[in-house]
Amino acid sequence: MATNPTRQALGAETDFIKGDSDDVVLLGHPMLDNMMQMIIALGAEVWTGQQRARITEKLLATHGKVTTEMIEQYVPTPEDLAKWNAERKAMARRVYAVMARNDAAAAPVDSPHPNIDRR
Amino acid sequence: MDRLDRRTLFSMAGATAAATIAAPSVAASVPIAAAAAAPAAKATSPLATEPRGRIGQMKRLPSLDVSSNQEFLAEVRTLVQASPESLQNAARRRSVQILREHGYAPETELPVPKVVELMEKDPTMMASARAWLATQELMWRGLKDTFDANRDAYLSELRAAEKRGPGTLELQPAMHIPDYARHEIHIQPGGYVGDPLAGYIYHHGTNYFFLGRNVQDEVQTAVANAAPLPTDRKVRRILEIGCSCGQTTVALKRRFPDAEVWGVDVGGPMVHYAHMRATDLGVAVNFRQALAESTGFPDGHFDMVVSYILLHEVPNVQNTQIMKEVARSLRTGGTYYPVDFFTATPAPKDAYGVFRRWWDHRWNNEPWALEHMHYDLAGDLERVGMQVTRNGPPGSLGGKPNLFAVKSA
Repeated sequence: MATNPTRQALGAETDFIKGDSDDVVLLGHPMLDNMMQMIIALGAEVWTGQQRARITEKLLATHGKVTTEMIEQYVPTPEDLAKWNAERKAMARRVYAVMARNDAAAAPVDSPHPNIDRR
Repeated sequence: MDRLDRRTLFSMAGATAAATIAAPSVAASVPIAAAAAAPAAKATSPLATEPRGRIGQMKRLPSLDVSSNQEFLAEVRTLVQASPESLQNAARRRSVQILREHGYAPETELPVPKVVELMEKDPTMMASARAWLATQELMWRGLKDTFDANRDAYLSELRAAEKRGPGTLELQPAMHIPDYARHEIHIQPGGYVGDPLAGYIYHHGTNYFFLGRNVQDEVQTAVANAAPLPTDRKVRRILEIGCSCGQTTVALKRRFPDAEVWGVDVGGPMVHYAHMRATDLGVAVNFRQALAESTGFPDGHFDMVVSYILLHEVPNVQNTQIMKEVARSLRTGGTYYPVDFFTATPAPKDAYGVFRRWWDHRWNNEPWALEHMHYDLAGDLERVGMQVTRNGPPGSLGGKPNLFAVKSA
């Protein structure tokens, strides 16, 4: 059982059974799992900064000034969304599509058919 | 900057038609404390929690940064899960190789333990799972941190909405929550019952389950619009069981504006949020914290019962009880329309499909999703006097004919 460290509650919530996903090791060593997560998190952080820069540039071009409030309140046009979606997809592919490279040759370390035998 | 009136901002529906900075319209709006009758609303700080308004009916996340972050995680998930060059496709191809390496034909149906034994040490299989799970964990953590940062304001907002209409909210703080419902389902922090802000987290999080394509409840609206009518086509009362944050419930009311529509869910935080959201949208639906197997409504009360992705989150033995409750609460000729995994398509039997379901169960903390593969839904419905049709209207999952049932005389 677990509970959230809530400063304030509403009364209809209750204790829950904590999952163990933080302890799961899939890649043979916890550090490899951690690094996979770090790499994906880093990509998201880079995109987040880029997105802020895109909106800043657009506001400067259209309004000649920019404030934090203007950035936060900006509502994208359909054209913005289409462009950003394409750019986001392209970035994700540039960075992460390599994960599926050479999958046909992938084999576990104790495979009876290691890659070296195929070359 | 002045406080924002969430309901005024909602009238910005369609604002995507032109690039705008929302601040000018915001400045003209009235403070929420003046618009809401509940005294607790005065403590709410909409500025802290909702500075960015809505697009259509989806409240934007509270900051551009968290929104951008979530969108990118959804993009990576798409690449891992659903693109032609996805890692999961690579894993599927690899699973065939693994079978061959161990002397099995690709179409061989193996028991789950054997499939796991063969697959769980393979780097491609594991990288596929780990990449997907990383997006899942990062998504939940980002959302939880975001809403926790203004936790008191969100709690005040929920409390202020409790007595507000249209529609009603019935919470059961003393209700016994069975263990099966207390898990952190799909690793959502606190699950459906443990975090007062679970509705916020679930609503935005599940949008990314749909890879960012469900901002306007498109999926739930498709389910509501597909639900079959009773045999006499008379619809006065509708129940959604396992309604979570009420998206399908709202869509049912929009389809049947003259009907009395209820949503029930075991999660108090879920119906709490569902009620607030429905009142914000001006949709008169009623929410009750209740188990799907014990809704508390009279016999024969409803003309239609609907469930969307509920059954795989419940043990099979409890689903049997839920089907009894569905039959009890429906009147003769009433319909039940369950949309879930395997109500339109059969459960996978190939090694990759079985392994994918297994690791979703094990590592994505779907405690009951694996046994759900073997749940005899049609059999349970027939045993409680329902006439089952397997080629009903397609729900939103896959677009194939979906099972539905009619209560026999």
